[in-house]
Amino acid sequence: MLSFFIKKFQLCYRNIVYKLKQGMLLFFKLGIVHSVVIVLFESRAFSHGLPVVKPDWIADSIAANTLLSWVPYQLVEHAVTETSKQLKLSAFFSEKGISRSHHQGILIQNETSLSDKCKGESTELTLSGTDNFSQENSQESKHIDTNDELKDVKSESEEDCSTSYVAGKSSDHLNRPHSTLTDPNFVENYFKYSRLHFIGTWRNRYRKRFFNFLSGTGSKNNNPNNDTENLRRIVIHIDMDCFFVSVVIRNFPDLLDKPVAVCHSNNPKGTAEISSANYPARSYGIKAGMFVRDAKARCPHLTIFSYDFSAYEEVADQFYSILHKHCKKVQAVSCDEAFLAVSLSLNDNPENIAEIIRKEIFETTRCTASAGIGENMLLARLATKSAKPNGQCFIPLDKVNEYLDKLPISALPGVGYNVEEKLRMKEVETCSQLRTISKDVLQKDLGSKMGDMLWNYCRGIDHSAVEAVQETKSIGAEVNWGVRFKDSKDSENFLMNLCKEVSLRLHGCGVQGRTITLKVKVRKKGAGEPVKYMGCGDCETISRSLTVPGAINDVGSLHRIAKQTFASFHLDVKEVRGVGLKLSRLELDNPSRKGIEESRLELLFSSATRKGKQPVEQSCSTNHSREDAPSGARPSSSSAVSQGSNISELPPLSHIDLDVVRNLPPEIFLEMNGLYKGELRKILESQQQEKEYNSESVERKDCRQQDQEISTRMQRELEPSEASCSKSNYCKSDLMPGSLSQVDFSILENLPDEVRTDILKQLPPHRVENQFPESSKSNLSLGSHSKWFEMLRVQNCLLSEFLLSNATFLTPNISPSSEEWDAIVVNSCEFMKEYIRQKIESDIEELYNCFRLLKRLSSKSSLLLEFYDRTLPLLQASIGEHYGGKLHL
Amino acid sequence: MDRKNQSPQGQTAKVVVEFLEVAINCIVFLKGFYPSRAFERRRYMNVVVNKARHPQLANYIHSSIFALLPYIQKGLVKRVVVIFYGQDQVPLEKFVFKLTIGQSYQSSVSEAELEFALRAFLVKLNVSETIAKPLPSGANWEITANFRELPSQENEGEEAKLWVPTDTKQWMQPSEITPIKSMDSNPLKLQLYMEHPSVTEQKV
Repeated sequence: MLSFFIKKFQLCYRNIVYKLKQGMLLFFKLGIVHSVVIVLFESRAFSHGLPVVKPDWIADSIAANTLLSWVPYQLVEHAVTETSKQLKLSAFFSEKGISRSHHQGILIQNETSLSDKCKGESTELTLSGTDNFSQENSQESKHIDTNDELKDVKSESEEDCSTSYVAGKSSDHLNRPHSTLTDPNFVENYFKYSRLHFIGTWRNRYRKRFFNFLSGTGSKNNNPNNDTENLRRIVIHIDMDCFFVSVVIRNFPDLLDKPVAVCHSNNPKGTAEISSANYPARSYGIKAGMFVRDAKARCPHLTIFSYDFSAYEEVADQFYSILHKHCKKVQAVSCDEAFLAVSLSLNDNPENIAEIIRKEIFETTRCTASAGIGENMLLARLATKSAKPNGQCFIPLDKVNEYLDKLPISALPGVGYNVEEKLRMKEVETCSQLRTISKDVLQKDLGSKMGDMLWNYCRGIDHSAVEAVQETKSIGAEVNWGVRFKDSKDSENFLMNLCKEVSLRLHGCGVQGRTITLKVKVRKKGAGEPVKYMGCGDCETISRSLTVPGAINDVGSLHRIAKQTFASFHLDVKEVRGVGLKLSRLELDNPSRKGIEESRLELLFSSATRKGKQPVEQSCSTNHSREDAPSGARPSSSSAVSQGSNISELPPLSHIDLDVVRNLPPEIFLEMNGLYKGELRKILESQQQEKEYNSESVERKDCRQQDQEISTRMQRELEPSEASCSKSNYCKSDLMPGSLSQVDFSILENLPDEVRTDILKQLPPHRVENQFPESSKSNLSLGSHSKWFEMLRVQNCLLSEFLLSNATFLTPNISPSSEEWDAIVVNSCEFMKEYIRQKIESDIEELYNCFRLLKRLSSKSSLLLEFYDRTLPLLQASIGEHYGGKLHL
Repeated sequence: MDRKNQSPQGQTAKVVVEFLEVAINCIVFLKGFYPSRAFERRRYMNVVVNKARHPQLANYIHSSIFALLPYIQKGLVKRVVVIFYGQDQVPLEKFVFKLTIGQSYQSSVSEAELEFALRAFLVKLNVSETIAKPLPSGANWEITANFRELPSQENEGEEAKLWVPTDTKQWMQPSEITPIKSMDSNPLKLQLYMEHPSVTEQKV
């Protein structure tokens, strides 16, 4: 029975292997059916994330004598992780979040004392466990620095823990949520556990701590020629040996000569990437960036540690204290690497000073460092390579060529894969070969800068000077790991958090940026889930940048622009695998604004605070409650942004055409007004007031005397209200039709009847109606001619337009031949006479339209008929005078 | 055509001349004077217009209008009239472009704005077929220009001599005017209207 089973099983196995090619793998151990379950259970971590099935599948397949679909037999537990593993959320951080506030208090005190000390001459450094936070708060990056690939975040929360895993903080780190954006604090936590982020932001920390060194040396180094007469300048490059590993294992002396690697996770799946390995491990071929499982395949007894950021900080600070003690001019490259510029008398051996420094580093930190010594930065750097590990190398001037001759070009800084490949085509592999090529040829092939640089480098020439402080060019944050959005709400939250992060960094550095670059990584078409857990996988990168006129650093503006830019990509948010936001064109923070914020902060921290450490406090305060940071710290920005609406972006108020707004249906207007938080109505009202002021006299009288006799009213109105229109600017222009109301009537007449009536129906509700209440309309039509002109001027429209839109009001019920009647007719005729005089030279089209309209309307009103009959001869006479003919009406 | 490095009047005049050429093409097409296949549809200022295809016709319109350019620039031209007349040289219909280019106006209106305004003329012209009257057989047409003053022969040289007094007779009675489009914006005032003989005229 058993043999039969195994035979069948082998058959099945072949099928499985075949299936493997299609991307599935059945992981099993041969044995009794019952134990299969257990074996599977334990080994599922080795399934590499591929489907794991129950043993029943095999049994059933055998019974059916065919390969059944594995799906129904999939281990339920695994099926879940399979489908939703990228969206898994663990509530791990809730605990952390509580302990935060406690840390905050300490942090503030710490920073206070630190800045106090920085101001004074004291160089003593305060280190504490909470420095983690300060590092996170005061972020700053140099271009590349913060491109934190999320390599570093610990990724696995599986409960399995392999025996070789030794971790200082392991219990704490093990269950870290590496979940996606469903974790509300994802961005924040992400950066907290990122090694690259640590490196990237370290510089800022360094600058703060060694501020007095940096500024103190600055003045001295500005005139280095003073004492160089009988001195020679030497550059020493010091680099800690596998810093990330040696710092961790200095407490485990027994591991010194054993292979050790540092990695954010020691998950049995082995999909984490090794970030640093010591020399014994390197001899096995283990390199940074390698998957743990591959490394373990090469070296099964490899010990893996996780990061110990506080230890790194401590060692880095010690390292730099020593450097600054021995040398005035230190250029920090990274937390474990620096250039020193030393001046020595001619008979001093430069190796001595390097020896002293290295010895002191080892004694203080129990970690080894290597040193390269050369005439310039290039040579020092190259020398370090030969010196490693735990050694030093001096390249004297007379041995430079000898050293460079054998050096492969790839060892030169700045030579990457492309350049190497190009030069290999020319059969250039070492510096001596490179030296045979002329500068012109190099510049032609590789570009002028690169060619120039290579030409210099292969001769051991490097003009760059050791500089203590380097300028920050851009500041940003990027997340490429663990980014999985379910819907646009997720992505918006994420963007918000990212903006907060970037804003914090900007505030930390006290700068604002003008160019905002948003970079988005999108899953390439057809690319599956990445091998690396929650990694970005195969992606296409799109980026767009926007330059704003004024520099910004507040969350509101950043978020608004980021959201806008993100929307402009028109992406399926489910496909997004990484987002980065970067600000460049940095400017120093506006001092006036700083003042405002400072005063606000002083309210927050009523304890004695000092100037100069404002950025730190800023970040502290916002750190307190990141969720509501923008409203708390920068209320000015929050009002400008409408949050939580699905509308992509509201245009600024100033961009809105108020004419359009005024004519909107009330519902839509109310909605818009709501979106602008009532601002819109205010603006409209203020405008309306202005307008009312302009035609004040008209309106006021009209409203008051609405019920009075028309004739008496007319008497009063005959007095021209001069002031009323002085303010309205009369800028009539034919160039553009101001609105729909300026539609050409003769075209209208040629239109089909239905269309025409439609249009006519549409026409009246234009600005005329909005500006003039009904009463004034009928009055105006009867008023004095000066009033008519004012009216036309105020409305900036033509008489024909007015007639057309107010046709219904032009038929007052006044008995013919009365005194009133006569007055009206006389006034109107006066007006028309004036109007004709104005228009006859330039615009007979308008006159033509007017009279055509009047003619049409006169059939309904005897008053208008009278008016028409009286004015027509005037018109025809004028036309005859000017055009030698008469209008054909 | 290089419109730069010119006075505002010069620029405006160029635009006007260009526009006149197109408009006259349209008028001729509109009147059905030539078979419609003698025209081709073109786009000018984003309006569909018809342009004469026949080189002689196109050239006539082009050369006569462009010969006016210097006078228009100086503001000498009062009217440009397209006259359709019957066999007896008596005009049946006139399309009058009455134009005034302000000479003192300094800041020129942007060309784009001007073109936008002129576009209205073309649109209007295309729909004013109903106002126009059908032409009898044997009719002819010409382009004439009314000057504010006679151009001095000496100063203008050859170009001025190209212009000859028209043989077309005048109407005895005041004509009937039908405005088509007017535009009043500095520096250009332009009116387009049609003139027809008055009812009494036709009876005579």
